[in-house]
Amino acid sequence: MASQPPRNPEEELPDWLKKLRAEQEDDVFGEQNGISPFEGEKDAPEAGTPAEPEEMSAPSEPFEGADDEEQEPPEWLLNIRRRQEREMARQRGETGEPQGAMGEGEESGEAPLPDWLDELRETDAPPEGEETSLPSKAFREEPLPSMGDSEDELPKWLSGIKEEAGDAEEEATGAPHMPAFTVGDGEEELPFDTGELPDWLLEEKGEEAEEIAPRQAEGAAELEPAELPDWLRAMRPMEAVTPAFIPGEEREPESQETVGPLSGLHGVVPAESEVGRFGRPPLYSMKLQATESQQRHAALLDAMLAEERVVPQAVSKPPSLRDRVLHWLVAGVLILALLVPVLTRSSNAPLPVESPPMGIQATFELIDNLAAGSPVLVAVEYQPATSGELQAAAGAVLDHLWVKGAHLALLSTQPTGPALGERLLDEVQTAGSYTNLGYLAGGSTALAGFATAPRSILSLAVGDGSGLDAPQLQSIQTADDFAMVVVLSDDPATARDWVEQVGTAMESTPLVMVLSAQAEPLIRPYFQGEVGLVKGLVGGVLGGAYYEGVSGSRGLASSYWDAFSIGLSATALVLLVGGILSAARPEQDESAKGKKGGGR
Amino acid sequence: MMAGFEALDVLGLLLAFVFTVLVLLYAFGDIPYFRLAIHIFIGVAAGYASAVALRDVVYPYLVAPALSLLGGGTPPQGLGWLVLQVILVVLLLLKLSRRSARLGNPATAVLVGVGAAVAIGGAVQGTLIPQTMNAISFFPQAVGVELDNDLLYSLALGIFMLVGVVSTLAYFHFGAGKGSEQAPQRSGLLLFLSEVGQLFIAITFGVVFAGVYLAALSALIERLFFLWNTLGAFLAG
Repeated sequence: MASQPPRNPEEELPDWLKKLRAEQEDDVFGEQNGISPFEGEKDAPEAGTPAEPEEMSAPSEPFEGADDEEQEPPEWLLNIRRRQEREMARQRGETGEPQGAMGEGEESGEAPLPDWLDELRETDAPPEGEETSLPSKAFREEPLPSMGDSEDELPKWLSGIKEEAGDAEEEATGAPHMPAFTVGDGEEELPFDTGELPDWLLEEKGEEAEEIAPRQAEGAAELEPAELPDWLRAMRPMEAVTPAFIPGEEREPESQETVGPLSGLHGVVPAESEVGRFGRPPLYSMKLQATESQQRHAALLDAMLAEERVVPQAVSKPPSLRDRVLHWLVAGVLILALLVPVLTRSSNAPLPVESPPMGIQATFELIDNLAAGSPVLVAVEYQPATSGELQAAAGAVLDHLWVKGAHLALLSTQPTGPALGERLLDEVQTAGSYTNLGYLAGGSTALAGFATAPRSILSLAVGDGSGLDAPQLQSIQTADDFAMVVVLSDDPATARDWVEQVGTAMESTPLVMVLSAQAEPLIRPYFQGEVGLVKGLVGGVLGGAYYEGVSGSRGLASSYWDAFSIGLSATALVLLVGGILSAARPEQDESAKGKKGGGR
Repeated sequence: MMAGFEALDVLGLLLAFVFTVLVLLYAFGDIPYFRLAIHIFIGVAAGYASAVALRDVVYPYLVAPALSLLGGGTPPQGLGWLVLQVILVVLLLLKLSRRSARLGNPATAVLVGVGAAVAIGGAVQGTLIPQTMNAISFFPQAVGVELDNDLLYSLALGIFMLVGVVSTLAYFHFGAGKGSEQAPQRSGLLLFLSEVGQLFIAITFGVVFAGVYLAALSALIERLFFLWNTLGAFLAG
């Protein structure tokens, strides 16, 4: 690979650039015959920078000897130099700086600068012992001082604009015009020589300074400290509220990095030293701080719970002979009172006919107004244990329904209900038609569904195979399509489910309850009142006897009526005698109280 | 065939007679014969209930549609409902094991949630509002009409009902004021109303107990008639 000769940069310049350069050289050096300080600085070789080719530095050769005495500088430049020398001499006299400081730049190896620029740098440099935030190099390269060193360097039109701008700024801000920077102890470095100012201007400047100083002091005094609103105060960072260093408190020495790239830095986030500290966690007291009122309530609650935890021990004391005799005496009286009418099959007691209860009368009237062939739903909701009572109570009602030609549909939410319904109908004297819809699983939820959509609920139920498809039940779409709903129940909860789920869903169909005597008191409120959802009520053997008396039929209630009447009379007699005996033997009660009290 | 049915009826009557006597032996205390009769009765009742549930619920709602589907038919309630029912049944059966009991919670939640919603809605519509209106309706509707015997009776009944309802509700109010030094106590007015409420509650419990006694007396009378009739039938041959 052949070596190429060095390329001449001058040859690579375009013609128009060469022409432009020639014109600049003629303008600067030919016509004015002046020296540019930047050219001289540019020509000075800097350390570390390659020397420019000879062709490039050739045009500046005549000016390299700016210090050459043979070429005499122009008069205006000599005036500036003289004035600067006078100023330097005056400052040296004030600071005591030795004369030899001028050659420091040369001794340090820096590029040689023109004398006037060195002097200017030394003039602008801060005095010894005073720190400045500006870097020295940037300060040296600040062009403003050199631009404003002399009023002579500025054209007259520019000087006038500058003075007017300074005055306008001072008037607008209300503050005196401050120089770009100051040197010395508050002494302003004016951009022009004060010696050239007229006397009247100096006097005015002194008066103005005297007026400004008190105004500044007054303004500082009138300034009130800013008050932060609460919401803004709350948003302050914790560092703003809690100072990092409290005066008077000894500050912990900041760690200084000794190794690594951060060596020598202070306040570096510690990594290993803090993590590596292990110690026992602080112990906190687990004692509950409760007030006196809280402790009193807690003691009361604890006492209540303690009473609940105490299980009373059953006293297994064998009954005394007197108690045994009394027990058998009461049982014998009641059994004899019942056995006599049962064994003799007597029917001496007349059935109650006069002034029947409202529920029985209402039930009779409702059934009596039924049309022949009306579908009547009969819910068999009782247990086998109460079948005897319910059969006596409902026998006359079902007999009346069949007499009126109603078609009965049996339904039950209890597994034993369908069989009990079949047995119940066997006891009815009058024969009639019925459909056993079977067992409806689901309790009250199934009842709610049956009330609105019985065909959906009973679509798969098996019984006798007919279900709601029986000819008498084909018109049934909801529970309201039945002519009447009769519920036979011994449980008040089950009867209430029928009232709440089915009774509320029916508008025109009456709901009749045939209940056991133990459920009647709790269901009677649904019959009484103006908003009674139950339209008819028959309760127990007494209700059945009343109904048979009203309807003129003879059923189970009539058979049981003598025994029922005698049994109730015997019961009342036993209660009366027992009460009298208890009242005649008060000492026994007192002894019992004494035992009870002593047992506590 | 008729002879077979008659034999079953006779056997049923005989068993009913024996078990009735065994139960009535409770008058002599909690003797083993009574316990034997009770255990047999509980077992037969549970078995009968299970048989009814299998026949009326499980078979028509689950087994029969599944068999129909396996035979190429279509379940009456649709395939979607059948799948849903099977899933719920399986989840509910998982309750039998302690490990898999949690998987049955969704089915239980459906049961409890739907049941509670139905019960609350029915209680509000069928009990709470109607009973409140009934308690109010005992007061005379018209104001300013001339007082006669019926109106005075209705007014007295309304006042009686008001006192009974308020005092009974006051009895079940267990809130107490906080004393400075003493234990929390109910106010004097509340104590008075609760005492009156206790009287109404006692009367209500007495009426309920009387009904229970009447029901038991009716059952005893029916059993005595059964025993006598059955014994007479056997004696008559």
